Amino acid sequence: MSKLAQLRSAALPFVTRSYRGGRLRRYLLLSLLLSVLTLILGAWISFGSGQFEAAVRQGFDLEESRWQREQFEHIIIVDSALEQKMVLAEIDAFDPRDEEWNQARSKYDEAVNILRQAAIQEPPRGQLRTLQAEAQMTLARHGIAHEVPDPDTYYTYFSWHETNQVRQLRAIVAQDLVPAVEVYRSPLTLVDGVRVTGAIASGIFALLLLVAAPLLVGTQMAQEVHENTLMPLTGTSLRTRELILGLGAGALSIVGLLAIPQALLLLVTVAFVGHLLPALAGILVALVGCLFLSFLAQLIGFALGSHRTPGVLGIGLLSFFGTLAMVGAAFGLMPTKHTIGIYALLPEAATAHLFRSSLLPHEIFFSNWRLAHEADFAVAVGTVGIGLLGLLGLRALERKISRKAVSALTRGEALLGAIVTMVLVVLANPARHNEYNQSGAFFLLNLALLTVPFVVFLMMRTPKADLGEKSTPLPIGSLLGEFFVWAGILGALSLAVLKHPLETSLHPVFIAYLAWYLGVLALLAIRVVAMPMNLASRAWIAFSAIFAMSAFPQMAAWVQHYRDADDLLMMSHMSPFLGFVQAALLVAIPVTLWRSLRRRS
Amino acid sequence: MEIDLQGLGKTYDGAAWAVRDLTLKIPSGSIFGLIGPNGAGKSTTLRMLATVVNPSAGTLLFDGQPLPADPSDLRRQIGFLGDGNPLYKQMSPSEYLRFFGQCYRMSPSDLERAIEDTLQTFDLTSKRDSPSGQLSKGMRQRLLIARCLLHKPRLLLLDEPADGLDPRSRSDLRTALLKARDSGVTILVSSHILRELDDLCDSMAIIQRGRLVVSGPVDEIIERYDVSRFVYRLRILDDASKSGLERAQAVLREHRALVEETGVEDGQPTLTIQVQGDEALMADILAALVAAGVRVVTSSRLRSRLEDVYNRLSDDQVN
Repeated sequence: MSKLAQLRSAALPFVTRSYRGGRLRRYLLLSLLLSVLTLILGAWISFGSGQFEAAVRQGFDLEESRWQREQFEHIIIVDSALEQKMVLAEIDAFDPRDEEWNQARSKYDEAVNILRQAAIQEPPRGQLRTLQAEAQMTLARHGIAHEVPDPDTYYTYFSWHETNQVRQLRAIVAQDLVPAVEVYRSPLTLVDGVRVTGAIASGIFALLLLVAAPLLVGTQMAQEVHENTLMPLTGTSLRTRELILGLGAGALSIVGLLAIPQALLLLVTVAFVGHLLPALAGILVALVGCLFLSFLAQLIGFALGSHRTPGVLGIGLLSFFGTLAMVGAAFGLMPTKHTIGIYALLPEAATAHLFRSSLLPHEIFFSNWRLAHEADFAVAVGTVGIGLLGLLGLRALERKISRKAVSALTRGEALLGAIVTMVLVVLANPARHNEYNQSGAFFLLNLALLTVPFVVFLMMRTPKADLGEKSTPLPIGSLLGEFFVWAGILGALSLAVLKHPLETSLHPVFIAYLAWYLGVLALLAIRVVAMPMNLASRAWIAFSAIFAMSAFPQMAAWVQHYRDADDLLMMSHMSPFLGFVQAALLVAIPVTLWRSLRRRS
Repeated sequence: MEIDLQGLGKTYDGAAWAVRDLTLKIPSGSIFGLIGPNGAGKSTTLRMLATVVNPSAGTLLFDGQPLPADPSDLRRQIGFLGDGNPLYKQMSPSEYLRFFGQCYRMSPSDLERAIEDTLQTFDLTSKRDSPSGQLSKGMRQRLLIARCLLHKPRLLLLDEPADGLDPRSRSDLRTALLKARDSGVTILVSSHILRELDDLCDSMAIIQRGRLVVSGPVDEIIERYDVSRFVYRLRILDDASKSGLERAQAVLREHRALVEETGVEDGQPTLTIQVQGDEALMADILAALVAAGVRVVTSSRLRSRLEDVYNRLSDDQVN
């Protein structure tokens, strides 16, 4: 049987289970409704005249803001024909000598200000001289002096070098000071509407793959573990890897039914009004991200399913993946030159960036090709890295479910995972050579970001205690060594990359503080996996973890700002007694962790 | 399928042994009982046989062949019911069987036929489309065993299959297992409730703390470890007023004999009694019964039960 046939055969029971008893028909109906909803949303956002739709269009640079149009086109925008009639009546009745304030007065004053400034400022080129002459004629026609405006009423600054202000001047001259009155309606064309519909489809597609899919897959795994229904499946003809992929396929088959029409809508729209290549790349990145997040969710579901109900885990997973999606979308849709590296770290950001590029490209990339290439590089490296981490997740899950290996990852796999995460994090937060204090932001932030995956990898390297404390000899030294090797690689990489590392980063006190922090984190990671826990040990481990976490900002602050031995124990500033407690805990925490682990080593 | 366990051992952590040096031969087409208290290593042994857990030591032979590196094909010949085996409550029996049939990679035509046959065999046809959560406990257990037999395995591994079942359901289970045995399936059933296995198993093994205590055909083991326990069955003639039976019970109380069971045989009452002494005491009791006017027709001594043998062999109290 070919690999593909095996995979299909492994997925069959789970897909059949997902579609059983008329569910397929219901999901198809839901998918159809979602597609119709996408079209309705597209039309509404494109052509609706409400404030919300306008704000969305303005957010994606599809429409100028209302106040900008009113200013630069010398118009008054109203919301209804009745209001239009009232404002037109106001303008007809307007007499410049009246002191009464209204919209007509406001526009008149603004126009006079602009005309007066334009009349006396020197325009930069010939064509604009004609415009200046027209402005002067307009003032003369209305009997307004060419004097410099009173600085107290000088609220609109005019410059011939500002395109929009020249545009405003043209409108004022063309309309002979009289503002136009328009009922507001969306300025988007049908082509824009198709583009917006495609963007909405891409957003729904990304949400389905990067939030809904891992949420379903993880919750289902948690449910299988919680209700002990996974064990019978491990005794069937399915190999462990097939079982994992099959379980995933069952949940993904539901998401797929909803996502495929959205992908088709996106592709159809980009084929007509966008760029196909970034759209296809976005779909690929979303799929890779979906697989990575799904394996991650399965690992979480498997690890916590026996302790927590699937509902509680589902809420946790939704919060986690939802937050990642929101953060990723913010970075992807509103890029800056400092944040495009995030595309390497968050598939959500890379997907949002690519979909936006396919339909509504951001102006930041028009003028800066280097930045565009950096973004492409981050996306490409991130996709490969996330794919590799996904494969490691699958291997770890396979070993955990089959229980045929002592630890979930081999030494080489954990090292590979650590290096991949290092590359991704360094891409996301690169060294900025021309900026102040770059070494602190680079090394310390990256270390803080990498602490989480390093701890996870170490937990996957630690042999689990199945039968209590009288179990496997625990290779504490070897595990700590691996952890410090990963941290050492990061340190070496940082020193190699940074042109001007902080002098204090090589200070022995800082190195000792750093070693304490890393050592305690490593001991905590090993302790959690390797030894059974009771209420007291749980409380002590939780306290130790909080203490270690709070030590990191103290360490960062010390190395960046204080660099004085007296400032090492921050709590001593509040009270000498608290300083003594802090010093005692600095010793007690690693000692107690070490002693408890020695019982198994 | 004939199973050979040679020096089989399992440690989950390299130090403590869940099963150690277990050597057993399970004849093809037999019902084999695995007995032991909770934590004795029964479930681990069954999981190793089901190939879901790798042995740490020793050899496992299936029909003389060692465990292959990829056991997925072998698993098609094994039906495994682990302990605490819940159902998917939203799935109906037919959906549940279809799901597992596909997990065993059965062809669609074979699968549909097998589902019909299995539902009929296990008397679940009327509930085929009801959610499993609505089935009675006995029906659910039948469905779990039906799932294990759906793909026509040659080896059936059942871990505590009668746990929590009422007497009627246990009787149904016994019937189903005997039927499977008659069709040539080798059945390995574990339990810590000895009465379940006493007259069901052809052979059995007692394990404690992961080690084998004894194994062999049930009759041979009972014969070999016969326990001197003075249990007698009395049949008496009684009239319609049941005064004979009442008089007999009064005499037995006086002689501190324990009435284990009462019944009826050939229309006359029977009493199964345990005597707190030797044969001389039983002779005194018989004399007292006759003196009290009880008409004793037969008095026969009963052989030891599996439970008695187990209690003699084990340090732990089971059941």
